[in-house]
Amino acid sequence: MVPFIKGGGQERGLRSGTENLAGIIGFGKACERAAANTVLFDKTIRPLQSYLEQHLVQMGAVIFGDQAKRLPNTSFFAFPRLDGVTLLTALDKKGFAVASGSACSSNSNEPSHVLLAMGIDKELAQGAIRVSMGVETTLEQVKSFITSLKMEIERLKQLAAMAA
Amino acid sequence: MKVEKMTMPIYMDYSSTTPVDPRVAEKMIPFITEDFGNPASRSHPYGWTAEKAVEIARKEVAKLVNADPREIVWTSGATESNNLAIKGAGNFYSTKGKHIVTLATEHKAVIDAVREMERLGFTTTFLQPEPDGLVDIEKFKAALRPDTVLASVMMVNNEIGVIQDITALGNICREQNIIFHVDAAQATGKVEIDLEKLPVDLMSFSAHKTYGPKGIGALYVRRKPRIRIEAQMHGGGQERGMRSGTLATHQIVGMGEAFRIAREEMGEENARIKKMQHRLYEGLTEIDETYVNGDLEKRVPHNLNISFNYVEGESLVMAIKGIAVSSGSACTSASLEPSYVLRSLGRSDEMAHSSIRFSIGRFTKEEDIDYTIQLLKEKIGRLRELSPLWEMFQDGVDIDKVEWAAH
Repeated sequence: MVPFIKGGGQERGLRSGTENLAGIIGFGKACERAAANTVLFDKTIRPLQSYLEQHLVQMGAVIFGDQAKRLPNTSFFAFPRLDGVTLLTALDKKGFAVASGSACSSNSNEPSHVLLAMGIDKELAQGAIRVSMGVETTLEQVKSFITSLKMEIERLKQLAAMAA
Repeated sequence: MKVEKMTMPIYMDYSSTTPVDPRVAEKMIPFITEDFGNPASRSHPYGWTAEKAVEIARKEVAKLVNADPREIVWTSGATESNNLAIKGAGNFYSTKGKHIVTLATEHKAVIDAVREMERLGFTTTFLQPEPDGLVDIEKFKAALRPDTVLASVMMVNNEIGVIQDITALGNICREQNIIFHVDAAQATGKVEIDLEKLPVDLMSFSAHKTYGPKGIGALYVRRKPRIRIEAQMHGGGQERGMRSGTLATHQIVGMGEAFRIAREEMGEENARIKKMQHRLYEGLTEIDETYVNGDLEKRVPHNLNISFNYVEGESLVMAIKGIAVSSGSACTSASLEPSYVLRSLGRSDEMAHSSIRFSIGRFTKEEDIDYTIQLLKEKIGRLRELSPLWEMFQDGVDIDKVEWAAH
């Protein structure tokens, strides 16, 4: 590799610059814990994901990549004909911090390039919501999320019906 | 792995890095644990809180150097800033010309980035400074050519602490429409920086030389007249596309707080450090055959770089383990090569080898200075007692004229 940042020659010359000591120690510790907890991570979160996605499907959601091997903590889904941004805003008001895709691209209103590359219809991709959970997420939180989501969807559908 | 705790020597190496000010650390912690959001997340308050903190910090950094917050681009540190400025501006404006001027005494991050530009077809001039460490303005002017696109000169030298005349150099660049980059990693909090007045287009900053954390820095990119740079890191399009990558909120908050403290306290602090520098200078120059490297006046109060003649460099470093200092910069202290900065000033290899950089700062106490003086006096005395060269010098022999017999 040709080094990309040159200077003091740290990291055997591959990446110069004073080492971010605290950051590196933090990364090391996080990796140590991740290595010890990978199985636990799967065990605790996989059931939550199954529970969440069962309900999402019942509510008419399309879950992206549901046939593929996936992480236990990430569910990326959309409801046909429902706008993602509106839903996100409503969920935020109810106290749920979820995303429309990756944070880097949350600035733009463009649909996820990942979904488009997977061949997902542009209109459906526009409504995408990404829920990502952690080891501290509880079943109660998931249940409460589902309840709120149901209410919002009903409300949005009624509004749409009134407008039509 | 546990690192063995040892009795720590007195820290006299503030130019390598500074401790994080406890006020800075305190400010950072909530952004690691509670307010951990990604500043780019737009759909919830975790993101908004983080973004707000980032923008407050940006204002603080801008304020210290009297810039517009929109002119501050976050990076991982001054090394990245220097690389981004030199490669980014050099490549963007390469249609104008492909010649770069810099100093032989720049930090490695500038020197190696400029060398990298040579690989891309640029020609370069590395100017030698005068024996006092300062670049001669006329020589700088003479080095500029019609195809010179970029000049890069550091504000404060990391090894000898001298302050270059950035205004004069920048004015020359302005007249000739040359982009002027300044590495100010060692200058923040030590020298007044007013970018509204300074004719500078790009300026590199680091947090960890000014009591902030390692791993965060910034590049100032002038808006009026607008300077353009080619991004070196591509991705999420953060920092208006100039530098992608998730922003390190806690690091940024730390840099902002560190620069705020610097702005508010630098006047009083520099006066105090100047007194200690003077005390150290007075004490150490009582030792015979000591030479200060770099101009004494145009110099930050934090630095004193001294060559001790007739002492062998490695033995000296070994003998003064009670203080943490460096011979040369930290980046190159792993190598036994004499400092290229001191060589550029015309110091001999021996003198460069037996030079010590004392750098002091916010938490240095007067008794640390006194201990250092005592330690150096005692150890140098002892080392010279063992030195035949010192004996010859004492006897009045001009060692440079001795013709050594070949064995």
